[in-house]
Amino acid sequence: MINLALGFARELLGRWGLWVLLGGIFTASQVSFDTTLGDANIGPYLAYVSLWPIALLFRCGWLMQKRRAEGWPLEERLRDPRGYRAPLAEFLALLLLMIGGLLLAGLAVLVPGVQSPTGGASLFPVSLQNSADGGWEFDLGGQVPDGGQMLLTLDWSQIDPPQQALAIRNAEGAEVLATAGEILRWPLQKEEAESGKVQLFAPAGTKLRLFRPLVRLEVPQPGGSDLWLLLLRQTLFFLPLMAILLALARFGQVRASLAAWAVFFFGSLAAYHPPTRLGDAGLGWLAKVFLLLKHSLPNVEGLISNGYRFERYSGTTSTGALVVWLAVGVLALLLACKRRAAR
Amino acid sequence: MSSSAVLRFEQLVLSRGKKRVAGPLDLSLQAGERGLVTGPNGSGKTTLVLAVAGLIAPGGGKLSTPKRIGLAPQEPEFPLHQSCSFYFRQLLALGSTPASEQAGALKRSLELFQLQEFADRPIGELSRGWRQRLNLARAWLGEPQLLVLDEPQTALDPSGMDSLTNALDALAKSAVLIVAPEGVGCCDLAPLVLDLKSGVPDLNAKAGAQL
Amino acid sequence: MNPSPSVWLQRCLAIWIALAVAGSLLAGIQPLGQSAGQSAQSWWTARRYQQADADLDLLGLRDLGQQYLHQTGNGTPLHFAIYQIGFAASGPSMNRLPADALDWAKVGAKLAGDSVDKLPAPWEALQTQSHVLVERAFPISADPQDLHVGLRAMEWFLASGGGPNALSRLTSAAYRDFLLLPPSERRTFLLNRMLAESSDESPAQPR
Repeated sequence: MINLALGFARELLGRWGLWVLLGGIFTASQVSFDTTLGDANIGPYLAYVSLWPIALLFRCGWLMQKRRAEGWPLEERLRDPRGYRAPLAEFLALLLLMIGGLLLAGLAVLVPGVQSPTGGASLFPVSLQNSADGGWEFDLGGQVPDGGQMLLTLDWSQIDPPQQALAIRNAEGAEVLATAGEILRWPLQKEEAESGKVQLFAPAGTKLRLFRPLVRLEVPQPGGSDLWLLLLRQTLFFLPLMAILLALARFGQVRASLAAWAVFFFGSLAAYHPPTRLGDAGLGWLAKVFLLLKHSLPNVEGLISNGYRFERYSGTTSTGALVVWLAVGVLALLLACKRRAAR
Repeated sequence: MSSSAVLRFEQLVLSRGKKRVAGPLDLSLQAGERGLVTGPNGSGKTTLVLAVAGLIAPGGGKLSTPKRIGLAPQEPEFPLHQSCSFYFRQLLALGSTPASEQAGALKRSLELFQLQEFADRPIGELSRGWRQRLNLARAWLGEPQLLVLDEPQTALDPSGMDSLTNALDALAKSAVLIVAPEGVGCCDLAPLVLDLKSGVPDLNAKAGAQL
Repeated sequence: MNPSPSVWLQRCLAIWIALAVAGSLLAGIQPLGQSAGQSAQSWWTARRYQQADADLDLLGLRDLGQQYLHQTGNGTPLHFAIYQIGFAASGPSMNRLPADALDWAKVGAKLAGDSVDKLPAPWEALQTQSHVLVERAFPISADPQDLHVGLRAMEWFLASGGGPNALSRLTSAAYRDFLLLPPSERRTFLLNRMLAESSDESPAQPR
């Protein structure tokens, strides 16, 4: 099995694959972390590194298609009557190459002369959805990672007689003391972080107002030490996609290159983060259809969150969603190993 | 009909879609036996090969085949960019040959058809005749219990034919089913056991030839 | 003859791909890997920003700052552009005519005001806006509208205590002093505060 997997991996890499990977990771690390060229942000680096599994997905589709034209299905049927060796070897090859890419991507940050990201926190503007007397409702645009908090700048000038401190609470009764002249930090409760919706109330009749353009969401920014975890999450996002490709091409017996495109867009849907207002999109109805489809999938956006602002959704995938996502992959792999009867 | 038969048909009907192509057919081949199936174009020879290889389901009757089958199709397909040895190593890994025996199996199959000097060359560089030898070597690879050869003499020069004859003669544990059109000179390779002439079933022979 | 299940599946996949392509083009679905392209684009914007002439191509600098903010959420280049346009371009070292200097100051102050709801750290922009108005605009022309804008920026800045990472507690204390005053005296307090802050220090140069 391992020889078969290594052979497939060698075919996947082709003549230039290894050099493309090495060159790509070196370039990505330079433009991300070099002291003069980069801005020490992990997000873009993750985005560049994510191109490797995407390339593998398409390369695998192309190669499976090519193998079909080269008579592999016949040889598989003759030599592997139970039909599980080839799909498992293909999956193993993809896994090996993805882990190889992950290791190289992780090590690239250790190269001397690069600046390792130090973490910290990022701020995001927040839109106020509703404002009633003494109450504010915020839409944070989806789930917020652990440790997220809202920063509110309050206008105390209308309160008569003047007050220096007031308790701000949410509907569940959680309270934080706000002090005049200081930004109110509201640590998001579990439900608030999960739903991305926050409703806060000032004491009734106090005329405490909010400087609406100054509302911000603060999210912890992963540092260099979190890179391995982030790369692993990215790999876990792609593994089920690879299995689905194998299932479609083998059990579904569709053209593997077509299956690769279908899986690519399926992954895009799983990673899709809908805009707060769907009407903003050119085709609102289509966005709604995709949103419906997306809600039928486990929330795995947090696994593949990359690019600038990646910390906004990074790590928002729950263990349950991850288990379901991986279970989809296992099912797909089982299906790929199931040989269809001759017709 | 012997229960130790490697290949056995009983009232086998071959069909493509809803169209009946041939049958009912009866045949039994034991280990070490060879048989020749002939018939004119369109009589169902390739359908029979596909059915034996498990690529299509029979239209009726019983078909019993061994686990390890080597097939040399009439129009073989190869990964032209790969070397013969890399390709064969992949095939051996795909099959049930233990890893420790794979190198020996690879060497034997290449030697049978004098392909050693082409082992590290891309398959695409081989001529048609050498590709046919490779096709046969592939069928031999992994010591199958049943060899199915569809028009094996195609594109072979006299030296290639000698190799094929020698390779067939060296087989002791495998049954061989050769499929060829009428009158193409495969009678030297195996005795006629089945004539698929226009779907006429009563010409079926019952026994294979004992080597 | 009915098509086989795999043919049906293939057709379904083709429809799915067509829908997804339409979704990517028209409904905001982001294909996997697009963020890599966007990151590369942002990196290129950052390079252009670093190579831009911060003294001559002020509006280009602003555009690049806005572009970078939109692409990455990082407001530092835009804040620097606000500083350059509002503060540096209208400064004495540029030897501009007063009307010209005033124009630049107003452009800078307006840019700061317009960016407050978009910048990740708007408190710095409020402070810069206030500084620009008090140091560059007010000495040339006491426009009541500018005064109103400047006072509002200073009030918001004080209310925020200088932002979440402010080192000094003096801003918070100043806001509490401001609240204790009767409404009629608050404008004067804010104006004095603006003048005091501008004489204390120049705004931090963010580049």
